[in-house]
Amino acid sequence: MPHPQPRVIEVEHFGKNYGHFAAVHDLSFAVQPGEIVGLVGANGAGKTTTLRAITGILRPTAGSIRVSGHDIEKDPVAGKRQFAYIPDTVHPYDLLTVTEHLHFIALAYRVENAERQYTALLEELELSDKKDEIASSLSRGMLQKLSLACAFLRAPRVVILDEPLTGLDPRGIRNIKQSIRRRATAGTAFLLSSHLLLLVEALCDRVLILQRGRKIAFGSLEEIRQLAPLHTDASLEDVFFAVTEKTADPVEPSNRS
Amino acid sequence: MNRALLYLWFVLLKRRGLHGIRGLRRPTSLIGFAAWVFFLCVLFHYRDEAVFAQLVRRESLIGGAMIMLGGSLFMGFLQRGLVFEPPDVEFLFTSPFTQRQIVVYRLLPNYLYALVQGLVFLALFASHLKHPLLTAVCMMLFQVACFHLATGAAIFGGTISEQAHVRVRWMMLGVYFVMAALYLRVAWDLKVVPSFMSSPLTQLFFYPAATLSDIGTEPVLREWMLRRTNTGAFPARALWESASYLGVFAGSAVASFWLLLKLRANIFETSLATTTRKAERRVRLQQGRSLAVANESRFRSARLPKGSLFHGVGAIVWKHLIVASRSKRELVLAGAFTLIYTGFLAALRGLLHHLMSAGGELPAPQVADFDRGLLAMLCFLAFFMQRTFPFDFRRDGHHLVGFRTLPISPFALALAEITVPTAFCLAFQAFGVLALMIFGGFDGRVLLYLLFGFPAVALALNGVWNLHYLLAATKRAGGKPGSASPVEVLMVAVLSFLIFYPAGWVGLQIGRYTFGSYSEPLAFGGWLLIQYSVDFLLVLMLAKLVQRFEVSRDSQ
Repeated sequence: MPHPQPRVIEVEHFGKNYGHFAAVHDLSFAVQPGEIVGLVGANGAGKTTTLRAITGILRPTAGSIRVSGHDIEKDPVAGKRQFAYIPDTVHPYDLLTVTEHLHFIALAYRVENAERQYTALLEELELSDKKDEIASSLSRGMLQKLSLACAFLRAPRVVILDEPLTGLDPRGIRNIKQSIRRRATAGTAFLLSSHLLLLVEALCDRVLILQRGRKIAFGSLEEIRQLAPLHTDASLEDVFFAVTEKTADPVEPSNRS
Repeated sequence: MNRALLYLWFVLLKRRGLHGIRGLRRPTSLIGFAAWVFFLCVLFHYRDEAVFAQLVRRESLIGGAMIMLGGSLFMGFLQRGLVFEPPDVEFLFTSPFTQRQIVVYRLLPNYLYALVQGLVFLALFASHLKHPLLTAVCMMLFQVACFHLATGAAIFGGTISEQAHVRVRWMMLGVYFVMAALYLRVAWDLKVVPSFMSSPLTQLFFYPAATLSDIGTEPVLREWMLRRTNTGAFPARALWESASYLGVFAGSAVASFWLLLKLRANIFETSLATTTRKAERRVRLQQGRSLAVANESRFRSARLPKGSLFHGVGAIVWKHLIVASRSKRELVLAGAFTLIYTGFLAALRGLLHHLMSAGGELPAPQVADFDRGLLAMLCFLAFFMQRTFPFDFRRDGHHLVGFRTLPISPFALALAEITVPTAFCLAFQAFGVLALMIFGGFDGRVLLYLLFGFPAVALALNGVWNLHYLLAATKRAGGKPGSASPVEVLMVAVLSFLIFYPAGWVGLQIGRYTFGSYSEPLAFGGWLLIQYSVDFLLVLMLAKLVQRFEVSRDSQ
């Protein structure tokens, strides 16, 4: 019997209702170590709700979510030790310096040799000259980098990113993509949500497409291409529209027969 | 308590302290701080006065404790979830902290507040208390217990449905009313509930429930309350009695803390919603936008106006009129206020006419002076009214960048911005004039004065306040914090009186040096000329500000 592959994120039959409105319905997927999974979908598809539920901020209405084997609802502290979450809008502590943010993370996650590690991280993310500046004086791109530095410092098993490249300059985008790839090669899993389909296509091993809170496709680009009759080198954008529009539109009368 | 959370709290406290001290470089902050220090010094200087002794009478202390307890529970329950700073959601909610650790972190500022409050209480009231230190410590512990209850109520409030929340809220208000009525009756002998409520007929409706009188005059309860509210200073107590007081308050703080930590509810989801709501509210406040969000999300779109009145700069007036038609809450509030205000003035006029018709004679010039006084008070209504009509730069402050690109002159834009609130002020004042005219008409000359005078006043007031709104908006556009300090608002309020000084002075001088029947019209004419000139200058200043403000990278 083959040994089952370890999973850093396991989402099983997850559902989330806000009153009578079902934001996510019966969603199941898993992310393995070193894998980069992209979460795509139109506005209101349930991407942020899913990410927030995985991070333990929202409570699932149905199903279960495990991070590195820890149920995020029953054992939240152990689960939260395993991941880093970067939301779409970064809200740092305005009056804390860049270094103080990293100090706080180092203390919260009991990071060994924190000073050595964050010095290297600041270099990598081109934040060294900003280390003593308070967060309120940083630009949006710099804040995004600070958030990434806080995430990488704790050496998480999985990094959850909601729109990770918002506000970054071209050089910053290239650096972040390289950082993500390098860490994924080292075994860190990434679950990222983005509307930039080109980025998802270039970076992700597998793609999860959500529509109105339901999973309509999950797999590698090649696997998803099978769902829609497209040519073999169709881009993710073509696949995305083919898959979502096929699901959204009623079946053509000619096809009914 | 987690080490990381303690580090975060201390660093933030230190930074906020330093930030506050640095903020004193701004004149308005310095004036506000100096005013606070001065106020506290005055209180400290007069701390031995009898009025301070009245404040620490047992009745007052019990009343204060009831307000603290009831207020904490109610305000906490109303929040429906704990309020955090937005960064807390990102850094604390997803970090490996237990829910209890986060709740304690959230309570740390409250503990500090209770400590400071206890010290201020000790400094101000020590001379009137038999055991000042004990009382201050007890008060501090009571405040801590109140914070625990408020936090618990907030968490509990977030777990129940909207419908249940509304019901419990009204039930709490009902209970508070009964308790307040009972307290006022027993402690201060004040009867809040009118006597007809205790009539046999009314009691029939509540049978077999006990009436307030029954409860208030219940011997056991009355004896207990009188014992509690025994007037005068603390009587001499044995040491064990002091210790028991301390024990009870410390016990209540510990018990409430234990209960709070025992709450099984999930705080993250409700707190996320509450924190987001509060953060949005703060942003709206900083941007000078209305805090009330329209309940309806869909309106029937207004038709494209056909007249040329709303073309060009008139489009801004049209936009404000549409917004006004959807701001029912503001209009109802303004209407209610006008009704009360003019009702009072009309009652004064009615009373005078009633007394005169009953035989009290008053010379005609004095009646005319009385009427002019009432009209002057009605003129002052615009001062309150313009604050209730946010259809000007208050609402458009954050659209300044877009307005700069419109093909209209800054002067026309400034004038258009203050047109709608000025028109609304005049409309509501016209209602007041009609109400006053029920008790006798004003002569033609007075009506002419009203016709020309009221617009000058309304225009000046709206001009002054819009200068303030526009300056705040330009500050925001420059990336600076936009919310005005109380000192700034006070200065604008003072300026909105001073703006009438030049015209008033000229009017008085003309009146002083001219005689006969032409004196009054001449004085009024002079006043009017100067006042409209001042109004023109105000609009010109608004236009210059619109034209010159700098746009930073943040506002682009």
